[in-house]
Amino acid sequence: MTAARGCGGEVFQRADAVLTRRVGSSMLLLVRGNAELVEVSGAGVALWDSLAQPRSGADCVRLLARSYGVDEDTVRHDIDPVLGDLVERGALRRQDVTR
Amino acid sequence: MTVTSAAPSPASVASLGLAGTEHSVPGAPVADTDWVAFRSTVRAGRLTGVLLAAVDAGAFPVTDDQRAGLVQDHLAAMSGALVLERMLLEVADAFDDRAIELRAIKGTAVAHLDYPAPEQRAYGDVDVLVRSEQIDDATRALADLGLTRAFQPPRPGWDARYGKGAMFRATDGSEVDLHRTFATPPMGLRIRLDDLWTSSQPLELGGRVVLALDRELRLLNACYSAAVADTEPALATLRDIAQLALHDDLDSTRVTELAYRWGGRAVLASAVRSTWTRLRIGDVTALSAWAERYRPSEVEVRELALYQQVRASETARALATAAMLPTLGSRAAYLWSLARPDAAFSRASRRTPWQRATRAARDLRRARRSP
Repeated sequence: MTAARGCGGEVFQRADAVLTRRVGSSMLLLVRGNAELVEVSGAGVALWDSLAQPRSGADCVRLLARSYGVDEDTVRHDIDPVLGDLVERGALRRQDVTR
Repeated sequence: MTVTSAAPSPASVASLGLAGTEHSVPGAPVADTDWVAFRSTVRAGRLTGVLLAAVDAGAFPVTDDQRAGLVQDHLAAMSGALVLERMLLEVADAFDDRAIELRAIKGTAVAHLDYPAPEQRAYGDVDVLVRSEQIDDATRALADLGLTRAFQPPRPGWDARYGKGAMFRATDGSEVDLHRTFATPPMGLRIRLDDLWTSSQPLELGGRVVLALDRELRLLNACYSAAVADTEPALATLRDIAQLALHDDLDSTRVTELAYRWGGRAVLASAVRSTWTRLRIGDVTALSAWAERYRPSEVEVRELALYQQVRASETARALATAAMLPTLGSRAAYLWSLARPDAAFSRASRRTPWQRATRAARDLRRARRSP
């Protein structure tokens, strides 16, 4: 199962300890405790913006598809690897809210 | 035929997006032959943020290639800013553990609190203010974080009594400037340090709150940086002054009163006048009108010259500092510390006591010859 399809009760939210800068169409993220700077662009920036409040992956897909007038499968395909990557790097937290 | 423009001045770039500026912007992209040098000047002046904001607002025409190069420069500047912010948070945590009070000052603070977006202000180091009585503890805390002090003080206790602060470097090249006041002596000694701690403004970075100076103190800090830290004020600092001085909520009466208490009215007037002149700000505010009217005394003019003239000497500043110390004993102790510093300071400055004495004598002869 993909991250964006997600389990029913799984939400993503921005981690607290992330420092950010927006440059042109890109975004730089630096997670405290992680030496590596991350640059996201395109769908990654749209995803980050959509997570100004915690959302499920499916909600992100619906929101971005509506905002950009793109079908949900295309959005899911674009953001799924980014969601997984940002969770792995500590910039996003994945939370199971059904427990 | 492609229409191009000559490169605008750096001061014109520093004023982009500023309400009331009378600087004009080019009507067409800068010619490629001028662009390389222009881009380098913008980068060195830490002005990539204001320029890119103007470009993206359609207020400064560029070619696609020029914009791509500017974005690359700004990505590098902002990557540096994030690394410095992370360093600031490490310093804040370390100081918290030791109950050392801290205020974020200069670049980080003004970027987040005084610009429409922090992306518009690039900076090259972390600047923090601590209380005089805690500067030695702060120095030890920075050393425990693995930072190395760039220059040793002439004598133990110097930092807390006379110094402006100390510079530290991390292994990754990041620089942390530890301050206890806004300027080197003699001006720095007249600033009433308790005034710097009466209020603050919170700044949220990466989920953590760090305290910064309040708006009026940030403005005064920027004015001291512009007027007495460098012989030529940095344009980014003048832009900071404009951002702060043009803010609707600035209490300009408090600013001038604090400057009066610190014997710093000439500093404030000089910095505000420089900002209005170089950034060609047409708007008149209570503070800019005051700065225009202010006439410094002869003593103030001489003191400012100690900092602003290229040939101003360390010896002249040291003598001016000694003259303002309260007792003969304290004057003698101050001058003795400079004349006979600890070995570590002498090694760092690469001068023996004899060389320091002969240099002082040469400086004095030069000062007497100057008009």
